[in-house]
Amino acid sequence: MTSNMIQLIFEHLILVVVAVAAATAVAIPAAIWSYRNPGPGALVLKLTDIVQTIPSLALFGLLLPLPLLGGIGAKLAIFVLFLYALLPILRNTILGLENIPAAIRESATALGMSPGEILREVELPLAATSIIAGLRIATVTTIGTATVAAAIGAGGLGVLLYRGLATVETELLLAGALPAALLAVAADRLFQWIEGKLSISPQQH
Amino acid sequence: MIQLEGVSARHGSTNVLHNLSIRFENQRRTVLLGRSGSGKSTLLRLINRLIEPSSGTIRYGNQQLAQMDPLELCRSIGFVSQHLGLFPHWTARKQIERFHSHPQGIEELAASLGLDPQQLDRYPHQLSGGQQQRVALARALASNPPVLLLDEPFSALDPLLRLELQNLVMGLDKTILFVTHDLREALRLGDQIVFLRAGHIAYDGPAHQIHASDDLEVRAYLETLES
Repeated sequence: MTSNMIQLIFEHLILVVVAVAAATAVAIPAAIWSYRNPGPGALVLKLTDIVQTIPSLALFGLLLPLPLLGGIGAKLAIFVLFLYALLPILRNTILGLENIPAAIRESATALGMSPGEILREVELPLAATSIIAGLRIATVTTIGTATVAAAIGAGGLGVLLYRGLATVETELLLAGALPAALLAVAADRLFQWIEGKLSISPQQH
Repeated sequence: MIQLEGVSARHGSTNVLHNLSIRFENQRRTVLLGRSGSGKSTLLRLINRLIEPSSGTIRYGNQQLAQMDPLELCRSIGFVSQHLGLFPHWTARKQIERFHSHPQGIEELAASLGLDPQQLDRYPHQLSGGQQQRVALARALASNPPVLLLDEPFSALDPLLRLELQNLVMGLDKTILFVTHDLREALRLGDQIVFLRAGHIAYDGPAHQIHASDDLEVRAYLETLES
């Protein structure tokens, strides 16, 4: 039982880490692009917003028949979790960039910094707390949604939950639910701690 | 020498500056004076290409501004706006160091603007308004630019601090364009005054001769001195 649980926690973590990492790699550049091209950028945001509104079990069902991506297993689960993780990271990164006062950007340009330098040295550091907050939301919700992934055979703590539900065994249910909840709380705390470390001047210009 | 020939500029679809021709001489302080919305801040931002003119040409020395590399240009022109735009995540020292290529050391430059080394290690929010102003000025001067553009930099300061910083600006050996809506400040600082009225030049000449202007808005401004 214990070794089985460790195995399931491990599977769960893999689903979450891979999905959130991939979503971060896509959402942050997409957010920078959307921020610089507000017209089409709004469309990108709308699109990820729509994905967010589809219930997860329905999305699994919708994508299951797809070739390459579909089918039972972790691959599809990670893809769906990735789609869900996109929005909070995208939205928070755009928000973080938009909240930078125009005078800061103007002075950076006037000082002869290139757009790339402004992004690296000024914009991303100033948006960092907001971006980390997005990662926190994405990670915590992905830990929760990943329990549903067991329904399509992707493993993880959802396996115990579904088994517990089917057999009406409280112990099994708790064995799945408690670690998942603890993982979510731990991730939340970790990211809050990072946010605290990163938050610089509380004063806005 | 900076020379504008038939320069117009727009904000969206509205014309802000209309066909201006002005010459700014080297090593002189020119004050751009006028009411809010007269186009003086826009005019200032044409010089470092934060805004591009809709027509006309601007010459910078013997080069056409439009053909110069914007990044290179900006490095040769210091700029301080009313909102300062200090980077909140950098200490005062880093703000200056990042752009520093001045023969004077950072601490020496800072000291010449009334900042002590301790203040250099603080973040902007840990500094007073006047100290922030000095940091912004030091940052703008860090690359030792020949030209300095100042957009109402001292408007939020108390009168005594304002006087002190005006004196600092007057001690600088630069070509300075200074935007203000305050006639007293203009008369104190300017060798030349360019008075803008709704995007047109109402007066362009030596500061001490502005009293002779017959433009109605300039006259109205001058009358505020007597009240």
